[in-house]
Amino acid sequence: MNLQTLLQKQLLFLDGAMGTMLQSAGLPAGEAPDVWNLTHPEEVEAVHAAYLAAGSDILTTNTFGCTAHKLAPTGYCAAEVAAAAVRNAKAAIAKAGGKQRFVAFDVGPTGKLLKPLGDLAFEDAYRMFREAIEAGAAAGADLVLIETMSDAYELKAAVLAAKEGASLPVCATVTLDRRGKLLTGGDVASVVALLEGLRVDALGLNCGLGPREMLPFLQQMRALSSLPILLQPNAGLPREVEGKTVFDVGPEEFAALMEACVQGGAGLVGGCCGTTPEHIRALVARCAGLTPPVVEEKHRTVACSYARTVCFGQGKPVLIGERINPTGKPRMKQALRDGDFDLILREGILQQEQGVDALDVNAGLPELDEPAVLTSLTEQLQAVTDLPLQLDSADPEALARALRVYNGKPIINSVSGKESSMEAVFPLAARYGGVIVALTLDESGIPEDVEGRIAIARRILARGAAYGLKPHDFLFDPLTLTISSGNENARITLACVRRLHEELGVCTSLGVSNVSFGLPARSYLNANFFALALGAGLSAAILNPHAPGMMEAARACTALLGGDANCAAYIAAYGGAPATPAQPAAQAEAMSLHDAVLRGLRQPALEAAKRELAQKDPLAVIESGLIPALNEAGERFEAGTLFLPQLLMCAEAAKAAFSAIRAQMGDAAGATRGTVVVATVQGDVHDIGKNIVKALLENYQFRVIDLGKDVPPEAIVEAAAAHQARLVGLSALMTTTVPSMKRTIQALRAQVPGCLVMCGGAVLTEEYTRDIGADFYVRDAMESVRRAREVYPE
Amino acid sequence: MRVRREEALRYLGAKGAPDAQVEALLDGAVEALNACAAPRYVALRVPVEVRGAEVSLQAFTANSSALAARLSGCSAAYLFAATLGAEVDRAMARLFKLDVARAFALQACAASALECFCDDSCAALAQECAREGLFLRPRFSPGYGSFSIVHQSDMLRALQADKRLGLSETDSHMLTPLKSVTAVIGLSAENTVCAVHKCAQCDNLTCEYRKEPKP
Repeated sequence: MNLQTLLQKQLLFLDGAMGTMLQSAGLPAGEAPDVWNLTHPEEVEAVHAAYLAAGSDILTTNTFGCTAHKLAPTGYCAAEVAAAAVRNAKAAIAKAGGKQRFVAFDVGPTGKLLKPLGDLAFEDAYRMFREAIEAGAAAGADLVLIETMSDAYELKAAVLAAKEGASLPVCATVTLDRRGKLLTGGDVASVVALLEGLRVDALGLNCGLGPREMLPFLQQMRALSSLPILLQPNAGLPREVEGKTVFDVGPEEFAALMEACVQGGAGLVGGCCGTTPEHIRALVARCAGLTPPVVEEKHRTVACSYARTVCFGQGKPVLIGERINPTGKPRMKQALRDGDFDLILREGILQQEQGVDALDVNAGLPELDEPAVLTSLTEQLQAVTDLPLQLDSADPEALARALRVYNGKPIINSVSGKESSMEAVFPLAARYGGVIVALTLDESGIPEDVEGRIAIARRILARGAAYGLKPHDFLFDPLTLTISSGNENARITLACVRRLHEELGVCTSLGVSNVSFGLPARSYLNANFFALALGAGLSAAILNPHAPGMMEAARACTALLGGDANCAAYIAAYGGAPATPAQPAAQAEAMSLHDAVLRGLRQPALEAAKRELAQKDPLAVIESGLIPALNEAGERFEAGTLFLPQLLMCAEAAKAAFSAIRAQMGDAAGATRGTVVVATVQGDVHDIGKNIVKALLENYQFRVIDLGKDVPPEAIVEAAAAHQARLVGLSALMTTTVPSMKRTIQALRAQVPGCLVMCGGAVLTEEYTRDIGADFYVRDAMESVRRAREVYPE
Repeated sequence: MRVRREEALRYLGAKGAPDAQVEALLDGAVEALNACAAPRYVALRVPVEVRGAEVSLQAFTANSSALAARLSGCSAAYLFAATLGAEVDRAMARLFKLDVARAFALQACAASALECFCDDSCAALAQECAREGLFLRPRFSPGYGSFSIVHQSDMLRALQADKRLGLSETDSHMLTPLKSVTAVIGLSAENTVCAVHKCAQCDNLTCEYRKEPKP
């Protein structure tokens, strides 16, 4: 009988702790238990045998630390350890005889944080996991158990490795803290969404907490998940006693608490740290007769980032910001072409501040390598926002690559009723998970009537089912056409929304603003159409949150349609006094651009720039207003009468003024002063100083190529050559990474002659900088500006 | 989280009395920090043996005269690690895209908050130890003086810091998340409350933040 069938019929019992059992068998503290699979197979087998005797149905292999990174100090490779571990478990089962038992190949975390927080690349983590899992599967494991994960991204890498490296059932459990959070962010809801999207066979919780503390989170998980739940708590919370970690929950108490967990919905149960064969024996004795919990399909349409979940069709419309799209935006086009994503990342964050729930991400420009750009944009956006992303592309290759690196379960935009579209997109959704936006058009175009669009929706659902996609995996978009080209267009779309919602029971999404194309005062039409669509049951809208009336319509309709309990969100948005500016309006109005920048006031600087632009040439505004103000700020800073925070506020105010100037000048406003490449050198992850230097250089109209942190010398050389930079700025905070700075300088000298190098960082000195061969030591950000102005005189 | 404002201001490079704008910047940063910080720490007590410059801490041995000096006369020590969590890194990355002044202020507050959190955590440990008549020495971290940064790996492994705190290191032994600390804290029967300030123990004599008179 296979595992899935068995799970429907009975509770399954796992084992308990392995590491502590081996320690009592003589494994020295601090030594890798995994190596014992090869050096002490009898001892490992004896632990397995003890758990079998206690009644375990599933043994987990002794491979918690079996990844290349953790094994590196031992000299053993993951594949040999993995194979030996499975052999040991199978040998114990063979000797025990009796009922059918299973070997779960155990996968623990790599012990490294993934990029961008740490320095382990997603695909490197994937490879490490896959190496071990392939060996475990080849040695005869019956399932893969990924456990103790505390980072969503690493969890995704492990699950993909398991799905792609073996064809075994995959179970995955995470560790929560007492607040119910993963150590790197994320919660029960986001974990459930991610893992169900990746199509694991069972999910759950282990380690970190005892059964008592785990129970409420288990109940949350049960309420959200449509999968069997696996639970392996510790024997209570850990305590340090004389340098040793101890756990206080004994076998009988553990069993009693676990009975409540089975009643709370766990179908696979065992123990983690501090549990012993005695705990498992008591657990089996107490719970063996219980019927396994019924697992129900929850029909939730849900997307998530690593930490935040959006649920569709739950009374509150999901608002998807549409601004990250180059169509009709020359500056964004240019930024995408240049690979300068700051503008785009800012646009994402600003939409979040406006209150959207998710961000559409589109990089579709004919001249771009869309798969590469969409992937990179996805990685960078998810580093600065926790909003779920809607990956928007007509290119299946771009979708495939972006879906793979996405840290969560995205919205996929889009599939249509065209056979070729479904064939390309459905396998991706089945592999990576995602809520799919489905457009009701097909090879013959958009049907003019309601019936035709509903028929396409039904066909999409039927085809999707063949890929294991369920109705709640879709978000149907019955398409908005402008009423300027057809009087009935909006009515047809609204009727479709209603029927999709009421008859098919599926969630819906619309790109709202298309309705007014070609008409004046579009915001009136857009907001009112949006309100009507929400009344018809619309679940989500793609919109511009900065456009007048849209957020207001969303909040008002949510309150009117009962989706805002006690009108709390509406009151929170509009109940307070109108925001008051820091200065009395009259005073702010009178402030010159020079004063506003010098005083570091953003809004007044923006307004002053706009006023001056009405009267003067943009270049004159820069030359006579902005630059003198910045210069004065710089001089005061160097004289010690203005300090770094004020200087940075001046920079921000100047930036706001520049944004107004750029809006007027268009492409002609590109940075003109010359290019500076900046980077925090390889091995160092402290990039604050570098970021400050970048902000100030940009203010002085330098074009800054920011390579980020932990940057290898080759990448810096390549960028300096490619951009013909005459100046490179390097930063390092720690003494241990200064040698890396030296290597970078040597590489630059050899390969980009004539390029000057300035260095800064807390541990550097004038003398030290000379020793490593740099041209300039810059003790602060202003000095880097001074050096750049010397290198690129006006 | 507790933040020492004067300390945060120093990290910000603000000298003299802050003006209203800098105060507001700091207030905003404290609020942002409270929204994202998830402070955690773990401490493991180990026996100490010092033989010359060689210091044995059960889980590992370090060859460092600086560490040996700080643990002389100690029979035990805490291996200690603390972090403010990954969300602080994410918040800083987000703010650097939006407003560099706010980002810098957040980093300054986070640096101070981490110090405060370590102080408070150590105060709790000190209270426990006081019952046994033991006193805590100042924290001493890998990477300072002759206590090599490669011992970061030993510290993290002994403390299971990845599993318990979500704290790990890069290949070059930098801690991730950024706002994190590991340290060895000596335990001795004598209350040698060092008259020297902790800055005086540091070999970075030209540090801008050094509180002792510069040489």
